[in-house]
Amino acid sequence: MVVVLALFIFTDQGSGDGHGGEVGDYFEAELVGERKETFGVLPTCEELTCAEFDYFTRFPDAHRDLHHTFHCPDAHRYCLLITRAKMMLTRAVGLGPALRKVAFTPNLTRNQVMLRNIVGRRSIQVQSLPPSANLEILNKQRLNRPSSPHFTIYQPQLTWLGSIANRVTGAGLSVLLYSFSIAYLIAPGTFDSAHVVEVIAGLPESVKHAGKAILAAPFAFHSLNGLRHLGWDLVKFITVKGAYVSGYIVLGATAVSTVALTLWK
Amino acid sequence: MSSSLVLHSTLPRALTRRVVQRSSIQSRYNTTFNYVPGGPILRGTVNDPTTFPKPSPIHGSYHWAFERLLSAGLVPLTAAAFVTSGSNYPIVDGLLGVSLVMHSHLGFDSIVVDYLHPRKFPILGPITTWTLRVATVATLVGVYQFNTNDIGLTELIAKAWTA
Amino acid sequence: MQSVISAARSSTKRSFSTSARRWQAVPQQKPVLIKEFKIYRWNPDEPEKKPELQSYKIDLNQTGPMVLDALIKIKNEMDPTLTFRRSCREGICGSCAMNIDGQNTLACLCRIDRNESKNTKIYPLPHMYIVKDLVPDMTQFYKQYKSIQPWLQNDNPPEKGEFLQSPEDRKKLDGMYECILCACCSTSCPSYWWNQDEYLGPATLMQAYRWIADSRDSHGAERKERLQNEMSLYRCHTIFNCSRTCPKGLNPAAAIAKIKLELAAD
Repeated sequence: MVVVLALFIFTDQGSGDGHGGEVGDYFEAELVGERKETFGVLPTCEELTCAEFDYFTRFPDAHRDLHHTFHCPDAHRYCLLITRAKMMLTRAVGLGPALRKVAFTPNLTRNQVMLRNIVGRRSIQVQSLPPSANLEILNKQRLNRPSSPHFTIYQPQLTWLGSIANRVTGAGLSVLLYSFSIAYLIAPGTFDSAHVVEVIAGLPESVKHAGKAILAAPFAFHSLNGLRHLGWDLVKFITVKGAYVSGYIVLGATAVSTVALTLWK
Repeated sequence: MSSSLVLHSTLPRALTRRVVQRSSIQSRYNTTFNYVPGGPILRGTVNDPTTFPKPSPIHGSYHWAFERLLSAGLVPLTAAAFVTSGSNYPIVDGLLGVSLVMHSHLGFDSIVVDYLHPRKFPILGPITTWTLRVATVATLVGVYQFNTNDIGLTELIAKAWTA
Repeated sequence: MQSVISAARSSTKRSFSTSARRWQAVPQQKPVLIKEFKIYRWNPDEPEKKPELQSYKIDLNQTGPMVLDALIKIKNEMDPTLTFRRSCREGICGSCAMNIDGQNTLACLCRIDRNESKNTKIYPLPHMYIVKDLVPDMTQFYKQYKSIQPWLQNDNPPEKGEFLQSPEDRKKLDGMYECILCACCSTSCPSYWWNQDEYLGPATLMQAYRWIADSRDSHGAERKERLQNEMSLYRCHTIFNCSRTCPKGLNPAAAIAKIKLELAAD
């Protein structure tokens, strides 16, 4: 027996968020469109047993072929509507198993008024889709999706603020090293030690202190926080408490060292 | 019984027809979604695991271990620089010059990998990477020049600090 | 005898009903405590509309103690279109992970801040593609989890019975196997924000180490080798947001540090 999975996609329902379930081996849906005309007569399906009927509702193509064989294509459509009705019955609250039982014995075909009420009220547009369409639909949705806000809404915490400060201070000092070295390489006459020291010596005392503090603080923080990171890399004090205690120690030590370095003569 | 016979005879036909149908439909749905790193479109189906790059310890554990050893090495070097500050110690200056620049390079490099990786920034990423490499080489040469022709890094900092 | 019993029964009945009337607890009238919740909204049916914060005011004295209770109350009584995941309401399913007042946590384990002068902002997990409102697309997270092959692999199973493990070896798994994969840690990690297509993130890495550390698993070398690249593991800069935010009190940062040290020691 060829195993074919017939899935019906209702286009008026969103199709999940991407990690619903496994996509079946085969993916098939039938086109019904809006049902406007009233039901005809011709139920060849009446001759089917319950089990056969059930089989055909699950494998609509075979079903269609059956009708073509009997030259009654309308009957095929009719049976599909029964399939829809069955699916809706299983979904609808209040239409209990008793009704379903009534509905899906072959005698149902005589109970057309009820069927029309169920089917007609909710016209369902069903598209015929290949297996790959699942991913297509999902990807189309994905392209619309916004990315949720991150660092703008995240609570300021010592953890990540300390980390970004480590990076910023390190990068700042390195930029200074790079720019001075490259400047010296390009113009050794202008950026030699004598000139540099001379320029600095000519600055007012307040500017000198401010400049030293601006240099000392990132140096102290980056160095001390680097030690903290080296400790973590050796799996030392790598707990939330350890991170906070060491973080505050680093902040305190940075403050002290900055003052000390600024006042260094 | 009769219906099941019909069923058997029609199944293959139904299947072939379905194949034809499917291929025609597939061409209709053949819009491709380009994978953009970090974008909403993912590689493979929801059930495929993500893949790993080719293993390479040089980009993995060796790189990491080297980074840590270098950082750890900077600790005694910095201490030595403080002790010898004010006078010209070419060995300390030379070591500090090389290791500081490499430490900086590794730091900059991880910034580029974090924020401007070439897979996400195919133009800006490589430009930044190569600019960084050129700058690092230039810096190394500059530091070497300064250490050999001038007073050296530690002494410069000491003098500038007390100027 | 019978009549005595029936009399007794009827009398107990009567006394019960009267005592009920007398002692019935009078519902205490609690004062109204209005608290504002600002919740991230985005509807895929109106994709062109930008995500926005929608304000809901509810009476905390008519609400359960947890943020999830507030969300359910809002959904039940004010706005049925508000969409979020929830299931167990007791911190074991990991469905209701979201960003509450700037921190990733499980709504069911997060008490409502009863300070009525301050609103509570609720966002979905940070830097994730949003399916709707507070529901992020977790596909990549799950695909990454799958990539570390989170199952026991051993080519030499014991001839009889189960794998035996010493209490010490079993202890190594404590603090890791409890992970419920809510993704709070991964989505709190700035490295994961910028590089989640390649970097595995703390949750997946801790599970990777959970199998590396398992004495019954013999594929540790392969597991470690897969991490030998620039992105999968080494985008971790020990920022520590992961352990700080874990609603289960686990420590992914330590697990990652152990992987790095083991990889370097090899």
